[in-house]
Amino acid sequence: MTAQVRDDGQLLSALSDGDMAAMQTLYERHAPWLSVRLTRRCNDREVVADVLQDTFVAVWRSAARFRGDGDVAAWLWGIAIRRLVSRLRSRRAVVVLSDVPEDPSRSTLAAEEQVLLGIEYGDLGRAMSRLSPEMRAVLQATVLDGLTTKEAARLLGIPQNTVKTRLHRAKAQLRISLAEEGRT
Amino acid sequence: MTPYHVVPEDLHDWVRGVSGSIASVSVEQHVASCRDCQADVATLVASTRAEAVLDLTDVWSRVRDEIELAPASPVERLLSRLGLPPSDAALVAAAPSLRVPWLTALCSALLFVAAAAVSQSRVGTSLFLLVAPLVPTFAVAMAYGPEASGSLEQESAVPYPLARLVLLRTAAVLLASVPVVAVVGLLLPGRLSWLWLLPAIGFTATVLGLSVWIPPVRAAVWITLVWVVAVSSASRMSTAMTVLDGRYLVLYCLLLIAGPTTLVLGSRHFGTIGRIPL
Repeated sequence: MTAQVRDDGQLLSALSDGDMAAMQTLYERHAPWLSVRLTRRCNDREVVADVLQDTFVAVWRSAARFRGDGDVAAWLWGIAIRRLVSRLRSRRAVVVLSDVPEDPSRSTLAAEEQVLLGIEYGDLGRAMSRLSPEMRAVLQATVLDGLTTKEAARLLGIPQNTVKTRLHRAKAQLRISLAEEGRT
Repeated sequence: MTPYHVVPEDLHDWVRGVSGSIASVSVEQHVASCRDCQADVATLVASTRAEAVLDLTDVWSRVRDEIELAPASPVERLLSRLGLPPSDAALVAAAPSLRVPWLTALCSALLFVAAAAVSQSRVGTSLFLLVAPLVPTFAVAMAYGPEASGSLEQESAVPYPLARLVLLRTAAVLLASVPVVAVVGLLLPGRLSWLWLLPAIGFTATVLGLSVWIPPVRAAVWITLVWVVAVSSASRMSTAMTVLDGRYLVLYCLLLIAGPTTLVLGSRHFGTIGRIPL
């Protein structure tokens, strides 16, 4: 990496001046992981492509509104996941949260520990693995993707009250698991 | 930046969508905040089989196309909200008579007529009767005549049903111009306040029909001449209101039916509208 590489904040401020090269750099940097993350929320390739397109068009038009102090990647994800939710409102696409069973033989745990050892979670990941897939989906949509319960209900295709109930239970279970882990 | 990174196999699994949900949650949280891993994902996505990931180059070209397009005008947005497909809305909104300067000129001209109509009843009535039906007629003629702008020539070069465009634009232009005249008409007493609508839409329809053979603005000019002669001779003989007698009203209705029919049939048959090859 050279000193000329602009960080995301600089790219965004260049966007509001109509800098198309900055737009392309931003796209090349963030579109890949956004596309993968969206694909894990919606298995319709066309929908994801449309959402990704809408997201970056929205970024282009509202770059000036980005508050300079925030995290650009999180901001982008916030736009993308909301675009996905509103897209699902207009068309009932088949949405699944992929729930591939964990394979204990893989190096997942070690890697996860490496990742989680950082500032991200602490023991949250392990505690989450004890939740049922439904509760995990709700927790992921609300806490990790930052959606409201209403938006999460739309994304998951379940009633809003169900989201609230599951979220409540999931949090209670998490507290218990984390407390147990703290004791051991 | 975090000192730890996702192990390559896990990142690889995540990109291909085969990692477990817990693993993918931690990968996602990490990737969202780590520039290096974002770059690794980009490399992985670029090198993964096409069917497993999105075609990002395609999405990028769509993004670029959309942001390079001029943003939709207020008229266009209004039409889209009313349920017109965006492509139709763009074409309809391109009509010169929907532009602000045109509407401003129209409103100020009508204000003078309204002032005359309110102050001196007889001359004012004749003046209103003379002008009111011609306003929508010219608005429509200006909406798609080759004199009005070069835009129709470009539009007729793309595969789009031109008769549909003309009718859509006519509807939009009538919606924009008729209410303005109608407000002025409300100031007038009696039947005149709404009866002028019949010749107005009759003439509009005639412009559409005649545009199969001659440019629409010329058609509007011919109609104006005929109308001026009719109204002035009627007011000289008895009163200008004669042109709104029952038998003439039937004539306007016939024009209303004949005009669009001629346009639709004629554009198919001759392959021209306003002498523009389809």
